[in-house]
Amino acid sequence: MMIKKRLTISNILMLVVPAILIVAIAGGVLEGFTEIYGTKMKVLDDNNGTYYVHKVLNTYSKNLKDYNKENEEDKKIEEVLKEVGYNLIITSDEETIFSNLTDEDKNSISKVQSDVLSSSDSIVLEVNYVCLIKNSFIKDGKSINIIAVKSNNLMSREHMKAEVKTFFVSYMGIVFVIALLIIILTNGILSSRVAKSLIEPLDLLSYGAGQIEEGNLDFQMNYQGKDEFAKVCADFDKMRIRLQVSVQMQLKYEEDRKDLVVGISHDLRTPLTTIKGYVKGLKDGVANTPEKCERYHDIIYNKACDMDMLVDKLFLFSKLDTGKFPFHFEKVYCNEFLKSFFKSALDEFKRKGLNLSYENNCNDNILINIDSEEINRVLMNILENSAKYKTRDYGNVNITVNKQGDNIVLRIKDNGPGVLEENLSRLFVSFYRGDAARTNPSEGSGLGLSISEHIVKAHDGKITAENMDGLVITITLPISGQDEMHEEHI
Amino acid sequence: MRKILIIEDDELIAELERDYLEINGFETEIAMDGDKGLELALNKEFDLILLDLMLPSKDGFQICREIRNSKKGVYR
Repeated sequence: MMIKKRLTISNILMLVVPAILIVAIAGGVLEGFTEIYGTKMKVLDDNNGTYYVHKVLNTYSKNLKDYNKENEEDKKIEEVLKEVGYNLIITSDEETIFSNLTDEDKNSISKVQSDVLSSSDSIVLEVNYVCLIKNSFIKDGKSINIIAVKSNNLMSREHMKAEVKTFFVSYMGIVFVIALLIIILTNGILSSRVAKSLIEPLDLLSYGAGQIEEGNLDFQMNYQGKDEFAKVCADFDKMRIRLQVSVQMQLKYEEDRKDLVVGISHDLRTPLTTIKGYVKGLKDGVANTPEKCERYHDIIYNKACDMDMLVDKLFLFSKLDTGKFPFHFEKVYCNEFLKSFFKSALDEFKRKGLNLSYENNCNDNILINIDSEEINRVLMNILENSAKYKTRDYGNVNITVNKQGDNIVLRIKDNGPGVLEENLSRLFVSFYRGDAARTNPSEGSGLGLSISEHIVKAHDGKITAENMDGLVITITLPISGQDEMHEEHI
Repeated sequence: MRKILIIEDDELIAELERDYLEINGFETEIAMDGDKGLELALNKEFDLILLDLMLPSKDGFQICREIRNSKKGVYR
């Protein structure tokens, strides 16, 4: 589940769950309180409890059997009336059977006009702060009077107000405490669930960052969730893989650099050793004839020239490698350029033992954006290699040109010995040479194909090698346009 | 005259060695690769063999081992 959705649901639940629980519990608590405060509430319901007391007195009158003396029923009614603040007097023919009246009650009764009181059989009076309920009836020829009195009604009202206040405060207090507990508990549980879902991916990211900090890039971010963190973890893993590839490339680059230094050292030292040896030979008088002397001088000069060429190539390679080589790109007709190259190369390589053939299957109006001099150098390097490594007196090289999509594809195939399959990938590495002994550095520096690769890449092209009854070098260059008006004129 | 075999793949170095040795009165023979050198060493008699280590077909150590194994007591 997405974090945004999870947070929304969690927030809704944080409101809804406590609300439902609080309402339910508040209802339950109210029930309990109603039980406790029920009787007092009834009194409240009928103003000062007069109707309630009147009803109680009626019931008592009906159930009364012995009117002459105090009995159990008197005690019960006394208790019931006490609860609502009333005192009681029961008389039979002016004789008091039961009374719990206080002096204040008696005083209150005396304040009520005696004719009103004596003339009424059943009366409910509320005068000033006095409540008086009388119930009279004749039974067995005797006049029974039951009078309930509440002398200080004001006190009772105040008391009821206080009771209501107490009820309200207690109820609200309990509901508030319970509500608080419910909110804390609900929020705690929901927050911890949401926090857990956030902490797990954060821990994983922290672990990943720690591993990278320690230099370990060989691990995986296995996050199973399907929230926003899944993308973050996936991106982190991609970053790790890219970093790993970058480190591996760096290591390979370092390895190639070492090979380069070894190659340079060897290829510079070999002609230097020859020069040193022949100079020493001259000094020691080994060249004891004028012809020998001249040959020694020629060898020294040629070796110095070889070194000069090697240094030039190194300089070119260095500029290409660091991206500082100034290319001069211009749009040229592909067929014109290649035909021109083939014409000039045909005779030159015939002298070096190569028979060149050329096949072009492209339209003449195709334009390519190239540095002609450098692409020329690439083609020359490839042909020089074919000439160098040919195993017969005369080698054959076939150059074919085709259009493939938006590219021009040059295929240069010789019938030489090719290259060991395991070495094909190293063919474009600087200072790689087919012979491990680096027998004749003068014949090749091992920089030619590496330089060629740099040049082709600078043209947004690609150069590859494969074995196919000899070595096949394929160069792919992007077409930069077609000139519809162009006509063949070569 | 003492005979010396030069096994050296660099033609110019081999020629220089030959010139030095011949001016000092030695007879020399040159082999440009390991196989040719081994063949000469096993089939002819030489007083000394000058052997390069980095050679195209067989390296100098391998040639040395094979010569010593085949002609025990002749070369040390």
